[in-house]
Amino acid sequence: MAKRYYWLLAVLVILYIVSIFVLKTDSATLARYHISDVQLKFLSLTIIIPAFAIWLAAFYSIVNTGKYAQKIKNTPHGEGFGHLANGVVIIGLGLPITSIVGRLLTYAVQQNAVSQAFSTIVSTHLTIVFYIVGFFFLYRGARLLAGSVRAKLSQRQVSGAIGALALISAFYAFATLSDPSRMAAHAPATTATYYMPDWLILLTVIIPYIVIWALGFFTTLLLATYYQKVGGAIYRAALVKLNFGFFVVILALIILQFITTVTTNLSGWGLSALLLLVYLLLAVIAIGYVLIALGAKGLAKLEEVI
Amino acid sequence: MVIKAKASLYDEIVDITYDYLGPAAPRFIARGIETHLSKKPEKLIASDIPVLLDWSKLAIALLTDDKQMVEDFSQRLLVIAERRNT
Repeated sequence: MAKRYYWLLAVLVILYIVSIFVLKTDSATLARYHISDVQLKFLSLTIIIPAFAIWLAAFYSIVNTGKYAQKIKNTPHGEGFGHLANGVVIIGLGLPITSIVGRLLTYAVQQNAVSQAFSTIVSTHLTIVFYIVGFFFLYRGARLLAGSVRAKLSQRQVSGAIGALALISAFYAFATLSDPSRMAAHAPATTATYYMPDWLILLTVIIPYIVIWALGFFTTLLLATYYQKVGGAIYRAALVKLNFGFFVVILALIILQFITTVTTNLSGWGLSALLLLVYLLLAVIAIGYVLIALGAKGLAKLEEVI
Repeated sequence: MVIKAKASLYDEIVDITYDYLGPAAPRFIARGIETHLSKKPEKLIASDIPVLLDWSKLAIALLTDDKQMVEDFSQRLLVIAERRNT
């Protein structure tokens, strides 16, 4: 199984690198950052190295959570870990797939095969589909695990999560619906963010993202509750890595999704600040994936030693 | 009156191991009995404990660097062995 995933990763990496050198660069982007086409292509390479590191970390995590879930599939915790592993696969595969589809759509726009609006709408919703399905599996897995040890969220935890979610959702909805470029491009933006009317943005972008974040919040809380309730000092030592990894990845993905919404405002920060922010988030997500993989490896070792 | 069934030796050992390996404990002990004693877990008897103790002590030591934890685990198994032998 591991080999198959790493081969798939190699193919996706090659596809992405080829797409960078084959695709023409938008002249407005070059003008905005005062750099040449070649400079931008090499700059893109410096960004994709940490992006590839995340993909590798994500695939490492996919392989190890999958191996562990397979080992314990016929046990009372098997179904819960199986769902967690499925969530990791979907979110992990979503990273390279959405990036490559995004590049292909950009190419199609350059060739006038599709409109910019079509490209943006497909990219936006493809990302949402991967996240919503992946986070649903994570949530379902965390719920089953918590249920297996009869662990329940306290009223305080539920209220805290709902309060935090309401706050972030209100800010997100406000930021999204006050983006002047949401329907049509307004300078300095060269393309619109969504190419959709407000009611469609609300129904197909804002609400799904709020659902994704709710699933993410409750997944981390349920995993923490499972950790508190389950026994076994050595088991818990491996589990804490896995849980912390999920916490870091889910939180960093939520921040990344949130920031993506205010891209137009971020453009005003300049290239170096944007790069720094992207590098930082990529590094955090990669660390989270490695922690998930190490946690799963530690748990798998408990099933192997004889 | 509540009649509580006497726990089997296997169950007692799993209960102790649970404190270290959590949900992995029953599989860990069953694997050890099948591999090192070549018998089914429910057929475990008190005289098997020394072999099980040697193996499980080594196996637990592979999973943690905490020597005190390994010692604590083997002491608890020894207590069961002594109690079952008397």
